[in-house]
Amino acid sequence: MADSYDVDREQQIATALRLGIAAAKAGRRAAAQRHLQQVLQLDPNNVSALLWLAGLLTDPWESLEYVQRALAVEPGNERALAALKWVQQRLGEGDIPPSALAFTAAPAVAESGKEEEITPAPATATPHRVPARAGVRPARMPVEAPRGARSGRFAWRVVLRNGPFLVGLVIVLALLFLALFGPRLATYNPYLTSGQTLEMIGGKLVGPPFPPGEKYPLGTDQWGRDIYSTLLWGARNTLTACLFVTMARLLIGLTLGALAGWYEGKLIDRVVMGLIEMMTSLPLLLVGMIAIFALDIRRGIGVFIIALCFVGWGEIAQYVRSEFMTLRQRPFVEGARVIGLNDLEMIVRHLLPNVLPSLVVLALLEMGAVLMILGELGFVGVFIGGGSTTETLSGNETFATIPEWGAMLAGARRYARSTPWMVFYPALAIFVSVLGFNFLSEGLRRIIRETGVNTAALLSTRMILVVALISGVTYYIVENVGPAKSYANLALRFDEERVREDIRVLCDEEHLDRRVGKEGAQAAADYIAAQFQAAGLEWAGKGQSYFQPWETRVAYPLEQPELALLDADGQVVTRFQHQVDFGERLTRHGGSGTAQAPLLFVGFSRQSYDYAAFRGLDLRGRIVLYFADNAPTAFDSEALIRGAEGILIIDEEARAMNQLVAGGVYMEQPSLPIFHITPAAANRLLEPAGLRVDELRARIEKAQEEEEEWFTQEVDSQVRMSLVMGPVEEVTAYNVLGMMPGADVTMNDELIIISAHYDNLGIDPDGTAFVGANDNAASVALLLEIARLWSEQEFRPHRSVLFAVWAGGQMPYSGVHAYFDNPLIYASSMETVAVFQLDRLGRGGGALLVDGDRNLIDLLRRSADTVGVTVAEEGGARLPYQNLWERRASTLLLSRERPATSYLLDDTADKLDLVGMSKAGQAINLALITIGREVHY
Amino acid sequence: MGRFVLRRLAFIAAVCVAIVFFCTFGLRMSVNSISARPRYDVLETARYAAQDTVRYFSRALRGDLGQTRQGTGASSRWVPVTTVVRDTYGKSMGLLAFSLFIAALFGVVAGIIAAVRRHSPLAIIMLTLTLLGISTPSFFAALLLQVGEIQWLRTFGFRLVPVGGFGWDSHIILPALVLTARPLAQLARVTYMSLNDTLEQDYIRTAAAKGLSRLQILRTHAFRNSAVSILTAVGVSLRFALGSLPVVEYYFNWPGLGATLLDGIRNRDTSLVLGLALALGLTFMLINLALDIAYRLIDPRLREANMTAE
Repeated sequence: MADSYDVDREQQIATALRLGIAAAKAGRRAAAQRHLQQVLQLDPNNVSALLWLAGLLTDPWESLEYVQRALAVEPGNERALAALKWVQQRLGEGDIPPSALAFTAAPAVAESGKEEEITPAPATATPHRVPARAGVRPARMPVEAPRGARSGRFAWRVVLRNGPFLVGLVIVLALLFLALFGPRLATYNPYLTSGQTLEMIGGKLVGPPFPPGEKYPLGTDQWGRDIYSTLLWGARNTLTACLFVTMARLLIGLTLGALAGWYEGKLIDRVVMGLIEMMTSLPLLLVGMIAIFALDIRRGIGVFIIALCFVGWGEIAQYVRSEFMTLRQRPFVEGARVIGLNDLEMIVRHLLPNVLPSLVVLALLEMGAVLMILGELGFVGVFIGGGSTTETLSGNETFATIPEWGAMLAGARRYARSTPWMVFYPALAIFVSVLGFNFLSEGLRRIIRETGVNTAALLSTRMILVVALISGVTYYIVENVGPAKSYANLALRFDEERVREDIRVLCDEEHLDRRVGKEGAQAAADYIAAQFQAAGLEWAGKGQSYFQPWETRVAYPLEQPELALLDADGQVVTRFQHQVDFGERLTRHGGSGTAQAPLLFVGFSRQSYDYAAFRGLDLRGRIVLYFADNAPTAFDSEALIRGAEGILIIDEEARAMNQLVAGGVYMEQPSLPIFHITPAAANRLLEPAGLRVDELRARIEKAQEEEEEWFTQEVDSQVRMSLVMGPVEEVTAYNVLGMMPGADVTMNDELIIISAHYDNLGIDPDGTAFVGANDNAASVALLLEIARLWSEQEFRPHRSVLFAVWAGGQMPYSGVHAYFDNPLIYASSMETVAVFQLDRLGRGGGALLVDGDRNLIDLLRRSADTVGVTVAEEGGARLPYQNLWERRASTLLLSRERPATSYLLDDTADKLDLVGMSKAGQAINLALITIGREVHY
Repeated sequence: MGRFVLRRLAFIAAVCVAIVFFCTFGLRMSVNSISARPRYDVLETARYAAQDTVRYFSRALRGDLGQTRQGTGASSRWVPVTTVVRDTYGKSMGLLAFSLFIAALFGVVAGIIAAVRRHSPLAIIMLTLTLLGISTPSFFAALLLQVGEIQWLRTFGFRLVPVGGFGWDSHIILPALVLTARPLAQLARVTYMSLNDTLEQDYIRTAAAKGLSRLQILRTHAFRNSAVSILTAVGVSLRFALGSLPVVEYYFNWPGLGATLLDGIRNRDTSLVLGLALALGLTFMLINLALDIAYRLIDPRLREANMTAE
């Protein structure tokens, strides 16, 4: 057994040695090394194998080690001594093969001669030629000998002597830094079009473009945007686009090239090659331009990525194909096939590692090429987003809206001669970047050639690290780039202090009573208008003002309205809170009066009745109770006629309505007190009689089933109502309207309205104050803050945006009704595309409650995701004018607090949650910015 | 050889069909996307584009490339595309040929000089310069030249050359310089590299040992062996130059194919784009075919290899 084993082993050694030497002579280093290592595993003291290996290794230190091992086995071996001399000579020469060209471009071919000198197999001393392919070296087997610091130093020296690599690396690292942090270094906001700005330069007042100077280091463009800042911001957009195009091209090129190379001559190969030839028959610039227009340039960065990778993968595919064609014929592929690997495994495990290092080199070259094509496209006026058109004195003009280097070149032909700084710096930036990528690629190619990068290791650890790093950076960039994300940079601001101040002012003594017609309302309107002025909004009211006045008639109680539940002795058992539990209504016959009587509930089974149907209904000496949603319209008049003392209507909203709508002048008609009460209050009224609201509802349903016309239900509760109204006043209410006109002529006749109402419930005669900090000073403050943020960042929407703060928002005939009934001049020429209605945004849970148009909800959801706010699709309180909007435009109702009345009493500024409000404000702002800018949202 | 040429010609015809289809499809899509409500989906558009393609060729084979509107406002009129192509083609090709000629001349000479002096710093400087040349975007070169020219005018009070416009005189200098830069760098690089390789060969040493002069060695032994790679580089340079052509023409107001094509694409003027794109594509492919044939004439190995491959 032992014998046969030994024979086997001897044979194996001999075969492996023969194969190894043959491979080495044929120049197939990887195969040779593998075979020789195999020999050493079987026989660590095989001198031939040791010496051949020493000759094959590129690192002279490693070679030395093998030669020394050989000498240890056979100290007098002549070949080993010769090899030692050779290795020492190599070490003496320095680590890099001497080259006349410290800066050569791609002299892989040129230096192959030198490689001959350093890689002869000392055993035979017959130089063999290593077929040098541009940059690719066969994989080197990992060596067991410890490498440590020596080889590390070796690699460093190669790197440090590599001029192009260092220059390229510095530039590319700088670009990476700019892409990550550029926007933070910028001194101005590149989105700003401060077209109106005039500057004093040399004693003269001039408009943009401003030449480079103290204020603008690199000057500004024709819109007054700082070139330096735009460059810094643009680095991110441009380089991201570039990176994505390159990666996509690599992926497509690698896949198709590998397939074509592997199946050389087959159908797929011919198809791929045919495609490449077709693509190259027209200049990339033109093909790319057509593709970009076809995909709709306005969609932004993605279109460029798709268009440019769709047509530019040919070079990479061709390279990979030719590599695969050569590699496919190597013996190791044969070997892999013998051990049963399938095509895919072979490609991934054996061919790909050989191509990867050169692919990195190619990818860098591609980065340069893509950057150049982006620049060229921009130069002829094709840039990301396509810009937007605006009206100027000299006709319609297009300007770029996304800071990007290509876009900055767009005006080149027009401005290069008179104001060269506008286009020179971006062109320089592109030039330097292209140079950086090309240098780095060149340097890397040399490093790979000189050190023979271990591709196996590349695949395993370093590559994973690099891939992880690139993905990480890409992820960060993607997260922070793109039209929506760059808007996010605009929107992610919210000055809580200013909002707090607004709310404080709107809730202070002077503005406390903001009911229509009161002094406080006037003061609040003035305050809001002043804020509009400060934010630079244009007048959108009547005449040259922010105000749209409208007339209405109101009456407020002179004495505290009273609703109380009495016991049998006429003593008050429960006293209800005005506004919270109940509120007076002045519609039709509602007015002053006192009533003390038992309750009578009336239920109905239909919505309309004729006069005769109520025959037999006797309400004399009663206070009538019914449901708002159950009673026929104008049943209050019917009740008055039939002798009711007072009316209580169960309704979700119980606050007072002090407006007199057309016709209802209560002073001239017989009047009776009409209160709306909340279901909770109704329950307390019904309690002594042992009834509940639910039971009454059930009774109504029963009546409807039995087709009973109406029914009455005695309620054994004594109730007192008392209301003393003041005189009817003719008052003027003021809507406050400010306009941010759209900057794009093609879109600025579309109107977006962001609105909130500013009135509150004011002060009761007994001195109870309903501050209304949440309802609705908070929403007004939020709206003002958005206007201020836009003005500060000089954000110009493309669509026109109307900031509307309504008077009398909670009245039956509100400021919104007035806005529609007396249209202002601009309103008729504009189409309202979206309405954002803000209500009660100061308090509530974390979620933003939305209701309304599907598209707008989706938009808000996306914006909220960016900001990190949850969105719940449930309606907040519906305001009286809600239907009015929804008939005319897509509406989005935004609120945070669910409708509840109990908080009305303590709705003060200190209870507000400004953090949540700031989040909500950011989401709303982002949605507004997006809809203000984007064609498709 | 004959079969090879025939096959190439058939392929070129197929590519022409592809170009027409791509352009009509792309322009139809872009018109579609401009309108607020897209009227056709992608498949419908592709079907219409295919119909257009057939129709276009049936008319084109009768010599009718359609009409295009030229001029602005009241003075605009319909002009046959053939006229436009004829007008612009000569201007572009003249510029291109001139630039490539300059590039080939200076590039190859520079490459040879650097290769001969490959152990001197001259070679390093040359290679760095070529890397710079290849990395220079055409628009940057154009800007630099124009700004430089204006600076000159301001300093010395007279112009060296016109900064834009058309003319077969000094007008051609700036556009040609810009167009030349990258091909020149590319050609110099390739010439240097392949000659460098050849000059390291044993037979060159043998030739030198035989007593041949340097010039003789270059002419008879080295250069001929590098010719194929240099010709390939000419093909690549042609691509570079064609790619920059629209940019250069657009910037220097040179009324050639490229600039007109850019306008055509921007105005979605399909018949104009098709005529010009076909002219451009055909020129490029035919020149490449000529180069392919030239390789085979120069290098017998290639001839054989391809014969067997065919």
